[in-house]
Amino acid sequence: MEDRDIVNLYWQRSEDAIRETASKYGGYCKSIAKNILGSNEDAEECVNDTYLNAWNSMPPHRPKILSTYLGKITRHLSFDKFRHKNADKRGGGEITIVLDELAECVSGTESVENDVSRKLLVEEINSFLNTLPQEKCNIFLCRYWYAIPVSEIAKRFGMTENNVSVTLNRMRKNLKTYLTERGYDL
Amino acid sequence: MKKENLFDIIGDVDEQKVATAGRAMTAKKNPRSLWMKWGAMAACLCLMLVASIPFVSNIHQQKDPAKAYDIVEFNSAYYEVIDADDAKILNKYNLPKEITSDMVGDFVGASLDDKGNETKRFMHEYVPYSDAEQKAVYVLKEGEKYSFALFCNYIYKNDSEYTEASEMFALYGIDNAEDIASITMDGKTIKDAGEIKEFFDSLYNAYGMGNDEYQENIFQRMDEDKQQALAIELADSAIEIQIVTKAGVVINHIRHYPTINYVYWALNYYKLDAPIN
Repeated sequence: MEDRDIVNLYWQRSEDAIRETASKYGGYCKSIAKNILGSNEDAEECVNDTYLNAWNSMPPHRPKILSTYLGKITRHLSFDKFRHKNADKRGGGEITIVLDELAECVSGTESVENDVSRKLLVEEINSFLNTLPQEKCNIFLCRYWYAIPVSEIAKRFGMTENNVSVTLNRMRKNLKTYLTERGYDL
Repeated sequence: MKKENLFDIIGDVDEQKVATAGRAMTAKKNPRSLWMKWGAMAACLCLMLVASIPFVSNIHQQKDPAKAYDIVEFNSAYYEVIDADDAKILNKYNLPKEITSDMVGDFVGASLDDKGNETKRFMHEYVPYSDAEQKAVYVLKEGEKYSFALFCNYIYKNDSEYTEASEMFALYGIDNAEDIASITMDGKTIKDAGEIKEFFDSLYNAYGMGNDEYQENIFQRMDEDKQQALAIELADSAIEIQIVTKAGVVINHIRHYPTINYVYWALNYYKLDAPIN
């Protein structure tokens, strides 16, 4: 079923909306959740919560790209769950390693963030992504949006794992430099 | 900022980019592997093969087209097998015409055929270089016949792959500038240790990239005529570099493009921070 038709089901408050979403995007959402949480059980729970969130948010939302809309919800829910569980030092999939990589880009200190500063930072990161060749942008997002393991990225893009690691390392350094030059002290 | 905050913020980046990345992970592989294999082999034969830009090179002399090239695959790289009659190539690499049995060292491994199966063409160490810890020159043993097998390039699966300069140097047994005896650029030979170190440091620390990124950096946003003109200009101004190590290993076919300050080496491109003098 086309995305626009699935979104229409939500707007019509049809119960088929969830069934169609699960059929088309259940696997996609589960893989995002599993990369972050590590456990199938936790991932399933997050995916079910995603459907509930989607039901509660459409209307008024009418997303242009349904996959990413749902993916974002799953990512957010999964990461929240990870942070909650991590307080007890339990669970976590690939995300722990991903976070350690991103730690190179930040100071590690608490900072005050508001909606405006967050929005500006997102715009700068978008601008940074615009400077990257398409494949590198894809690799960056596969790692730091989807939290996909380096081995899977290497296999998909036909690279060695070492090559992917070096590429990611270089992009992290470049991101840090890019943001610092624009006055961001993360 | 904490690392968790950055991860969270990355979640809000452009949805179109996120969707494209997601599709890239699930898309069917582009069946380019055969093209890339031929591309890599062509590079091995010292021809410049570029994905979309015609690149004119008048630097290399081409072999007699009627003579077939002999290439073997070994350790994810192509090696050219040099005929004992090919005096010109052997001279270029300071290698003897005849390989005697005392020059043939330990067995290293069997070369592979097109399908990845082991052949009966076996790679051995070349005894005069055995202290150099190099992997660029082997003796190929086929029955009782010995030939030299010279490294051409690593086999890449796509145009974004590359090898860092440090790894390329290591292939030839070079860990630092002190391992280099001389560098010849544009016909001039440098033996001064300070000048050698300057060159080595510049290339060793250069930003490496594959063909895709190089093309994007140099030729993007140009129309086809300008691309062609630039390609010709680069070819005409290119400077050949030859390095000889203290162990006697010779590296040929490194090319410096002074107008854009890039170095090309076996399908890899390196952007130098400062010009080479």
